Amino acid sequence: MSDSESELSPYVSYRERAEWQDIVPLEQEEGLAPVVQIAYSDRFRETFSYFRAVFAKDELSERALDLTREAAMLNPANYSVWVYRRKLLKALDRDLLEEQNFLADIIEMHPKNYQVWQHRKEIVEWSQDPSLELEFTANMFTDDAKNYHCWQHRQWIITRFGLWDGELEFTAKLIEKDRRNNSAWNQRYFVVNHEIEQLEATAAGGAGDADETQKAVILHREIEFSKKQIAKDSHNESPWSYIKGVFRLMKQKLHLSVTMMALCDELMKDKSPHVAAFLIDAKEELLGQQGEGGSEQVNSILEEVVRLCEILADEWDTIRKRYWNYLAELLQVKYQGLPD
Amino acid sequence: MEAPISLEREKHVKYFLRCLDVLPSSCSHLDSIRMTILYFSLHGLDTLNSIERLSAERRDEIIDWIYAMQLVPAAENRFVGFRGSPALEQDPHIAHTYTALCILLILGDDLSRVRRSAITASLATLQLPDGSFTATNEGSESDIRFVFCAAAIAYMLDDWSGVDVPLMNVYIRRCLSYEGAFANTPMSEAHGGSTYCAVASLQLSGSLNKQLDADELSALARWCLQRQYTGFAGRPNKPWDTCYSFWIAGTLHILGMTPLVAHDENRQYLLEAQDPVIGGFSKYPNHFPDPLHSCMATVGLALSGFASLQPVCATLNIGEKANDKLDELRRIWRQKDGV
Repeated sequence: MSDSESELSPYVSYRERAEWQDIVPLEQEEGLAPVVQIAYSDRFRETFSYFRAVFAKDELSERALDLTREAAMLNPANYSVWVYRRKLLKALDRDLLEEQNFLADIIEMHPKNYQVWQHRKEIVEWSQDPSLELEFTANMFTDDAKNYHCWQHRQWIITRFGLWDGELEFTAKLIEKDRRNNSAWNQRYFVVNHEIEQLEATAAGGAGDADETQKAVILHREIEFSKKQIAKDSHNESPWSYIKGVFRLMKQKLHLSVTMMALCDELMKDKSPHVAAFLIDAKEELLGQQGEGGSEQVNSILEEVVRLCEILADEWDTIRKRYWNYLAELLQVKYQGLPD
Repeated sequence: MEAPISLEREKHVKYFLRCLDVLPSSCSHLDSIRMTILYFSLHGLDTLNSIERLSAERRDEIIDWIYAMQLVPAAENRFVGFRGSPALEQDPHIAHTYTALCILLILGDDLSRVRRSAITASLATLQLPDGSFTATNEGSESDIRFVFCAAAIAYMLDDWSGVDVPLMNVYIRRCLSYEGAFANTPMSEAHGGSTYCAVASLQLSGSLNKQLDADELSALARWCLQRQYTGFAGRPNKPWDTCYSFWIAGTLHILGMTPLVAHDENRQYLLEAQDPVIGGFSKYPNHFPDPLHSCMATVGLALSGFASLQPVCATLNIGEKANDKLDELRRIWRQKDGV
């Protein structure tokens, strides 16, 4: 029995219901030999037999709508049920708020099912009313703050209806609650990316300088934010990949950030692989700028990078020792012109 | 490390054979995806080099069942393909079309009853203006999973005419996250499953090295390798889950980075996730097994070089033998078409 089967009202067989006497249930065509056959419960088998019958007639009625509810509760992954239900909701001009309430219940029971989230999206698109969605998704996050479907839905709502206000603070709140919530960090990037897009859109009108200053302000803000979280736990991967992403977004160089480089030097004592990896990436930027071919400066930076790779391979990140050794070799070949 | 656990090979064979026959009512939520459950069972069995446990008669029964799921809709401009189960009468589904083709190859079928050109041409009805694909003509979400299915179908049937590849690649690139790996939809979080779908798609269309530069490939490889603790996780700061020993390790295989994986630790984790009583594998140790994780864990072991398992073709997620069969068919088709 699925989770939601127990949530349905006590079962009265369709065959015994007066209002269904006119319908001949359509059995499923299984073929002769059982192949991944499911031992359906009687309720499941019968509900879907009646569903097939009603679907075949393209019946657009209240009882058909109720039937789709029961069928959806029994198997929310059957997308034909949802497609038909949407058709019925339109034909019967049903209250979409009521549908949202039903969806809230079924999504809570099946939070990782694609079809229920898709249905919610379609209902909101149809009603053009996103007013419940931010609260709904925020509530879902209290159970599972990393639910992928929920984050996708929230991003769609924000993009579709321009509900950016307060989202940066929302990500800060979630990160404060759990700084290892990589989904929350991803959402923060989603917001900052939008901020930058907006700046670049207005800058296109000719306010070029203002745009760069504002970008610098945002970068500084995000460095401070990430730094705060890194300081609490430098072994947490999320803020490191986040801030690197933001630097890239702003087309800024890691090695030119005094704050970040100082932070890394300070945090080496934590033996965090992310600190070492950040330094490797920063120094590789430098190498890229110096060009290949073995100058003294290049050799000196390269030596530091190789040393960091060795520390990672031998001590701080041994599960990835083959990778760090490979990287050291790769970079040496590239920048020192060593034979392959 | 503790004493190595052995692979409960016979238990897993029996587990997969049971899945092929009948599943309990608690599996009713799998009713719409029976084709893909069939794929997990047969691919798992094949990776264990145990397809011959099926009689020729049983193989034919299964092949007939699969072809019974093929549907050419009466209306025009509809996707032609395979349904996920008899429960879904109206609509072929892109994912179950991909898995149907995989299973047919695994069972040694020559695909002669497959409506090849109708299927490949009709992929165009599922591609959206942003380059992504839906799974069905109506009521389906669109994301990178179905991009992969489209690419795999086009590749297997050797016909890309129904796929706008440059547009598909635009979408795939938009799914590249700041972390250096791929998300299910643009701006969503980088994820192991999505990353596999993106990278395999690019590889299948011959676009991998054109769409990703050296730095991007490097960052991608690092992100994948950083998912390993002993087993693999699908996202940063998430628990390890046996299926990522395929999604992530499979991606690394496509990138040519398999030698950099810590195989001993990965194998150990996978073996710990076996159910020693009923067979099969779960997402983590001491949990309950399911067909998806049983298949992916078995394939994960094969990718990690576990002895006596059939090597896997990572881009399509079918065994070497099935892939050889496919290559043979593609040669025959090209000869016939005078290509």
